[in-house]
Amino acid sequence: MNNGYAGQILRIDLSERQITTFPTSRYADWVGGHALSAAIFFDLTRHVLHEMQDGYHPQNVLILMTSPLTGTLVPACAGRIEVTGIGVQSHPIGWFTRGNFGGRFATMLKHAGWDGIVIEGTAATPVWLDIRDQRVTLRECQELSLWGQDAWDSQLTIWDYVAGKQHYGRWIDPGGRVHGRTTQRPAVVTIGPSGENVCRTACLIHDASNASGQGGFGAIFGLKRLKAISVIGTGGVAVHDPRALLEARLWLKEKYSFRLSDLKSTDIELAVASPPVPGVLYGNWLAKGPGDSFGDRPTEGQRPQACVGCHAGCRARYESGLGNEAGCVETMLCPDADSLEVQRRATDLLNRYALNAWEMVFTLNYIRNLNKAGQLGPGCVIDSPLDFSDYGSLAFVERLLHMAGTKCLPDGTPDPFAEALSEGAYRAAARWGRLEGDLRSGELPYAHWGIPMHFDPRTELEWGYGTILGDRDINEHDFQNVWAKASFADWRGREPDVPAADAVRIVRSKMPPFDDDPRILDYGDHNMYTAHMAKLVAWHRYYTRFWKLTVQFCDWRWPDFINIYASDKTGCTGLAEPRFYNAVTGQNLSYSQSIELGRRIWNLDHAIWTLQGRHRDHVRFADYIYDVPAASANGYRELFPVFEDGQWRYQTRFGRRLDRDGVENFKTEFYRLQGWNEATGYPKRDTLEELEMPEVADELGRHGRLG
Amino acid sequence: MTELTEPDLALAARLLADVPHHQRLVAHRKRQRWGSIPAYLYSFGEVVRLLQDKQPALSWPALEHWLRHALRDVELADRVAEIMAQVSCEQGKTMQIRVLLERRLSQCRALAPS
Repeated sequence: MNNGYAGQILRIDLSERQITTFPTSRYADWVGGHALSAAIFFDLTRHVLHEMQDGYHPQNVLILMTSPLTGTLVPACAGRIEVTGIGVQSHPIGWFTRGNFGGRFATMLKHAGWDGIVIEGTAATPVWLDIRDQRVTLRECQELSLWGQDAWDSQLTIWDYVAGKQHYGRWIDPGGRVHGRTTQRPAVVTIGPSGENVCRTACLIHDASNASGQGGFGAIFGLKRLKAISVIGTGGVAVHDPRALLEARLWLKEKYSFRLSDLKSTDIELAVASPPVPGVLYGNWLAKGPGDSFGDRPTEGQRPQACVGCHAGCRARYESGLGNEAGCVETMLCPDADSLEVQRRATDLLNRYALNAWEMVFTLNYIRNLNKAGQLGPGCVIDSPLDFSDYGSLAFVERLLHMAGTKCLPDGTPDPFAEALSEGAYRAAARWGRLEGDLRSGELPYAHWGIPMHFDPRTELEWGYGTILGDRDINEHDFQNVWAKASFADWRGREPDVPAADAVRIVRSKMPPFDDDPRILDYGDHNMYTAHMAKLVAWHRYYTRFWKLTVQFCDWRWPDFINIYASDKTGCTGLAEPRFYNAVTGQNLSYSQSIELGRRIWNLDHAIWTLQGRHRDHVRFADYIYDVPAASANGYRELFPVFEDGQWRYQTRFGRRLDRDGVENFKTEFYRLQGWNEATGYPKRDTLEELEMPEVADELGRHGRLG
Repeated sequence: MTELTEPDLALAARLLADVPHHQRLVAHRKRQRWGSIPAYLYSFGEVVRLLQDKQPALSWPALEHWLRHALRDVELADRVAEIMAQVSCEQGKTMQIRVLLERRLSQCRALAPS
């Protein structure tokens, strides 16, 4: 295999301390990233999948996998890597799940000559993996005192060990003189204290703030006693047609990207059109700066920072060094903090402990409410040593994160409350006997699989359905980006850039094979449980399974449905993705074929979940989604396209709740569309054979889980 | 905008104190991409801070009701109601209510600086 591939995959058996390799071509049909990982995972675990209810299972396999586009300068794609395995976060079953992260790691891995890493077994003592081109070594943590270091210090230690303490930018020979030379530092992905302590809320951190958060893979690293993986490579990636790749980049820039002379938006623009603006979401720090205009980002000296190959630069490095490379949820742990500086330091602490930011945001909200209700505190029903009297201060944040990340009090004493925090709010609520009641009331807003709600399933339908039919909060903003533009215009009292009817027409035109369904994007109450909605959810699963999870196009930039710089506002999705893919791989993949490949990957994932025990009855929301109306809100209102009285309009859907029977109807429609058994949700043999997965059907048949 | 009447000490104290759990105001912090994070507001100051956020989301009628009945600041509630009726743009409404509430908070802090 050439054209985007390094050609080989590392297989690390930590129990036996064995390092072997196998050719990527063995899984050529599965392209890369998530699909390739799922296929390997299935092969390695098929005999035990039926008993793998949790990521702590000793035969759990963790896989880090690049895509053929990694390291090739395909914009907002080339710098990401997929992480796959059984997770420890979801409930009641730790599903086969995934995360990914950006930065330099994926590119370095390819430059070292590896498409991916498969990690099995458990080391007897803590180790780290040292990859220098083709020289791969498992090293004891003890020699560098790595175990016990936070996620930043451990990277600095490894940098010094691999590259020496010489001035950054000097040439180094990472693999010895027989290999190449580089001026780069190794790319390291590591765990912090939370991973070492096997907290379900632990994530992986690379560089300052690239995190693989969902799934709790930091805990899996910790359980396997794998502290870090360091990689430094001096090679490159073969591209089938470099000219075509560069032409595609220039075409994208000319037709679809921002122009400094004609900036149409200085807010965080969500498609490929954006200028580099750090995507930080710090809270209301303007409380400390009267007279300032609205804004949420530091104004000190800074420069954009991007993943390898990306044109967007959605993060920044700052003069002060606070909050470097941070963006999105990790920047909003403490919107009530005393100052912006506290918020930025809290962000850095989250990264040092390597804790899942989204989970911590919701956990903090939950325990604060319990404290205010007199239920949680010293001597309360939930006896907690956490002192809320200085809530909003850095000292408070430090105590909170220390407890959640170490299961101990600041003095090092193991503590049951801290241990509960380390499990995340959902499991903590169960320990405290509050789970059922708080899910019913919505006091614990964990809508699905024991995971915090992101966008509300009662309004953002495709998000909620996609999540309960999958394994985790989908965190795929594809349609949300489009509707957010209209919402933002509404907030400002302006007409949307693209009226609802035009937006629906443009987006639908990019949704093969369902582009002939006129109602597929109707979020109205009358369309919540229909076959049209099933198609929307299905298409979303297919597109993202292939282009985002497998080829690794970045969720922050793709797809490009609506583009304010394009002549007719029609974005480049459908044209751009195959163009880049084919330039690198030399294949002739059409957009429609890519969506069909996404269907195949989705079906493999679903088969794995079914082998783990997934049944139709598992697929449901928490009670509050059915029983409590979505919060009524003014201010910033989320709008969705609705077809009523013969025309499309943007409307808010606040106040809506889901109907239990309606959701059951939706599931039936969805299973029918997928070719799955409507009563059980199990895949049918015919469907799997049509998708060229007879061995998957055989495995399901062996366990009585064929539909 | 006409000036707010100076609050008396009792009102200022109420506005500067936390409300009990059952009287908290539930709002949301929103961003494109971020999603909808519930914001549980236990004091007038926290409401002001939420409104200083980039894209706050809360129910204006709920805010008015909370000001009128939980904090018993009738004048402020009436002024919020006026803005609700007069301003159509949500951003404009948010900014005007924010300025109004900031002013009230300053008055209270001046009366009871501790």
